[in-house]
Amino acid sequence: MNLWKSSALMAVSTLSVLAASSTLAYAEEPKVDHQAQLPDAPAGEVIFEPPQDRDIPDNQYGDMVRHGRDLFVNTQQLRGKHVFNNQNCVNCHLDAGRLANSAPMWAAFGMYPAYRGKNDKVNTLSERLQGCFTYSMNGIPPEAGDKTLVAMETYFHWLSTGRPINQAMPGRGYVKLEKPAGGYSRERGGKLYTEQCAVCHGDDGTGQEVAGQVVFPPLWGDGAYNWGAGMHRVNTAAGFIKANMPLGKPYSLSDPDAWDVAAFINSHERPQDPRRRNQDSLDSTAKTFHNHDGFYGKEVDGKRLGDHDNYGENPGVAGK
Amino acid sequence: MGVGSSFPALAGQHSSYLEGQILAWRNGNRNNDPNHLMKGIADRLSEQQITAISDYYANLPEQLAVQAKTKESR
Repeated sequence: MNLWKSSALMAVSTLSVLAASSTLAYAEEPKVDHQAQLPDAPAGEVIFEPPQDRDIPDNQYGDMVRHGRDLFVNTQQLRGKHVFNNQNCVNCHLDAGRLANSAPMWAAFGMYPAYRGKNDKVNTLSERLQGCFTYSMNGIPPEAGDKTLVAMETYFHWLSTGRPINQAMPGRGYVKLEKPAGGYSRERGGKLYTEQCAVCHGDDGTGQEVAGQVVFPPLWGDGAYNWGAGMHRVNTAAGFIKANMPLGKPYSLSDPDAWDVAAFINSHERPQDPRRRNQDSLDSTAKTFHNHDGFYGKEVDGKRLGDHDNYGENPGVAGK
Repeated sequence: MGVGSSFPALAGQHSSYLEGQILAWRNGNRNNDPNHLMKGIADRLSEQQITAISDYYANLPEQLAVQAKTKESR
């Protein structure tokens, strides 16, 4: 079902893998860049402040806000249904999705619907959330209209009280770091990881749990985000790390250090990219979806990363 | 509750002890935190926040017990 053509720059898709039912309205214009990311957040001071929890109204809307907040900070309650790894939303969106430069939800809300190259169509906020479930949670996304999505969107809507619609705001997403002139190094990153990260995330990257609750999330292995998640990109992880890690010490690493440690973390195995299910080979998956700063399909320590059929705990209904 | 060997439990510690430790990190008298994680946090806290946090953790076991009871009686 997939039709692949080569262009001078990259292999391009005429069929969006994520939208198997897409109508091919733009089939005659096949130059799709699945790597393209949303434009950077504008520079400037972060002025917007989301409302406080105590201001959640005491009515049905407020109940849905609280439910969404609860799902956001304890996403593991959806384990085995929509979530098939050890992650919670709040692991990448700190302070319950409130913190600037930690991809805060008040900054994302109001930017959707938006065109995304990742699946080559205009995505509603629901579809964007479903993407998070598919990749970052290595999961099976809730159907549109499902109470899970309604609750999360209601929480984001409340967080965004007073925020202008369809306007990018400072603090959106993660900070963008220029790639170091000398590149980045897994070796230097490994040393930094041992010194700065292992105390929480463990030498083996599996994170830490207490009484069955994930406290520090796994960074690689079956419990981590899969090979399709934005966080597996070195540039994305570097931006997150720079502004947020080690937890409690934001902006303590230099830019090259953030790149190095991101490269180390993201050059470990993790659950397969779900888009691989609709691809003929690792090569075609890598060529179509991984022309960026990442280690998918690359050889590390004599082994090619992503060269496996391990989708973690995901039973395989996803990837549609 | 604490996590692993590096992150001790705070719930139920005396508030004066917690307050004293945070202040000790802030003024440099305590210096044994891994990667100075606590130093960074202590430096950014106001006196008022330190008192609030210390009271919160000191009273947490009672708070949790009340919450559990309310849940049960529902």
